[in-house]
Amino acid sequence: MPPAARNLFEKRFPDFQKLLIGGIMIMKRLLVVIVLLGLFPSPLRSQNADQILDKIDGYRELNDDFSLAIKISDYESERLKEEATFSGYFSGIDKSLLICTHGKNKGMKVLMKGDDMWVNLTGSKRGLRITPMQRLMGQAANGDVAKTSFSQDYTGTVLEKGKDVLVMELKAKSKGATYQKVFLYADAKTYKPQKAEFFLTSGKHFKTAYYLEFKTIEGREAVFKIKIEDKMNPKLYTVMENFDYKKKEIPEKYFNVMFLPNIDTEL
Amino acid sequence: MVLSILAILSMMLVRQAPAKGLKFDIFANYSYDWQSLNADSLWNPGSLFLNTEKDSRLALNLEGKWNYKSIRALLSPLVTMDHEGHSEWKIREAAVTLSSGRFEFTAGRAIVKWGTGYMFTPIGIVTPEKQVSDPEDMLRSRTGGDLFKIDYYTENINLSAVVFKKNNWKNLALFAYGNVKGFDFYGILYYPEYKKLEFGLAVAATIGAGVEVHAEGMMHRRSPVLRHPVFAAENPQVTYVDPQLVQPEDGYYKEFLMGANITVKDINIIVEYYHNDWGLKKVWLERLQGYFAYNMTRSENPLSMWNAASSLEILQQGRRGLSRDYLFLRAWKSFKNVDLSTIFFMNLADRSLLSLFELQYTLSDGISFYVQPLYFTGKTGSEFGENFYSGSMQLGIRVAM
Repeated sequence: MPPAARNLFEKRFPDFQKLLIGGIMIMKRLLVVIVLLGLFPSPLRSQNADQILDKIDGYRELNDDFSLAIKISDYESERLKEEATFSGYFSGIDKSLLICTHGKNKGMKVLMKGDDMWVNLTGSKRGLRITPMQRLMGQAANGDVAKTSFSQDYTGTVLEKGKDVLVMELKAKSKGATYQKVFLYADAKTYKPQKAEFFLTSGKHFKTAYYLEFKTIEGREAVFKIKIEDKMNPKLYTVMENFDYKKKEIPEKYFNVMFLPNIDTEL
Repeated sequence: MVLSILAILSMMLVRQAPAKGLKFDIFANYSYDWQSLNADSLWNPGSLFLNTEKDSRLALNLEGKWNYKSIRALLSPLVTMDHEGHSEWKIREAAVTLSSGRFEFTAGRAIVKWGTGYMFTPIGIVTPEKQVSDPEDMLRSRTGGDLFKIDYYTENINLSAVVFKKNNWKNLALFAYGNVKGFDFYGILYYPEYKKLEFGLAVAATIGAGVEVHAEGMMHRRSPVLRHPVFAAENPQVTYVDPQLVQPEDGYYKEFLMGANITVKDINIIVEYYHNDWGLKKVWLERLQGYFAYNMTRSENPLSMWNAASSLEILQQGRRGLSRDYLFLRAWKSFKNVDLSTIFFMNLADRSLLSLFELQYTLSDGISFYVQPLYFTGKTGSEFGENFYSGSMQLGIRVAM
């Protein structure tokens, strides 16, 4: 601004300079605050992340007791390798009972409660406790991927929120969790889950789940088809499809490992 | 012949119009066995017996289940047939269960499994005895016990009271299970027919992501096996016209097991240490073998002496090996349709070993083929080194429908 014009401006607007300087100082402070917020997530920021996780889990979990049929198809190099069907019985967000009704392990029962898991093999008269790593073997592994409750088992941080896609980094609350870290991708507006990348304690990227199809159940959308890629062996992937949803009251004893051998193939 | 029988049975099942809640499962196992006799064994002096034996066995187990409202019924007959066509049948299970809320009442013959161990289960006093080569009874060869049982179940607790038959019906057991903060706890009180209270505990839990640990122990008040009088005699040349096995003095006989289940790079490994107080000490086994060896050489009829020597099995009475301390290891890996597993069972006193390998190929749902070589190895005088068989090879087919 030419000096003559500046002098005229200052005479007419004596407080403007002060306002300008004041405004610049406020902006600087705001910038500091914004940067600090970025370095030290405030409780408010985490709470938003938790709320987002709840919304994402809403597409993956159904409340109350219910039953589902689950078809698991294993593919190798795009060819169907093996198929199995399970009857699944679910109570709350952390209790599930899976009974293999068709496939190589027909009759096998898998009970999951939180981080605890037991298997009752076909023909055996007792349930055996198995390790979280054993969940990674065979079809129980993919069941574990499908059942993971993000909001309950993980603490989330929003890494990126674009126009279409939201990206979150989840860290396991429990050291015993099979997957210590998850990168979760969801629709930025609806929070519909799109993809989840699961990492082991060692840091290895173990599996990626793609949430492919959704159906409306009792007025809300829920994921019904998941594709799980094995990142250790890229030729392998599994497709899990849920169908035949029924609201069903399940007696609590069905989630007791001692009762497992008494359970028939259907409740 | 096997396939014909199975085809006929399956046709019968398909044609039958099932009553409400009635289901059948059929399990068949056909195996062909080559057994190689141990030419150096104490029990086969001078290779008295042929070097190999061949045997085939067909086992058919039909399991019928019927559910109607709060009643469950189970009938499970087992028929076996050997290579000479001799058949034998028995009832594995035949029980009725009535449910009422959290309670269940069971009467009849049933297989009840308590405990955490894979190789053995010290607290499994109602459980039928395990075989090291088939701990989970996948061949469905074991028979249940006759019992009356009351169960109470919640989501995390199971309480049981059971009256069951061994030599008589005077056996009572109280059992409790609880799942608390990631731990499985088991407790048992047992009042057997010889009227001395026994008790046991078991626990199982997972540590981190890859390890499961379990332990169980039982305090018995009477030795489960009888003793040979030669244990009391230093000189094996002492003979007994009619050696009576004797009941050792009542006291405390502990039996316990500790183990872990570990998964490493897709290989599942179970390792367990087992101890019992009534097993033969090394010096006793030496005296016993000395006694039989001495009398074999003196006997005019080695075969009859061999029959007497086979009373070693009476000593063992099917109870978990001859000695006191064992190590068990099982490794298992699954590839597509193939499962590979191996079992090692070692006598820690003499380092003799039972080794079993199994390759199982799953052809389709419920049909699998398997090959199972088994070996006994050990130095002269050791438990497995003196085993009558040095090994066997079993080929089989399992069908579950």
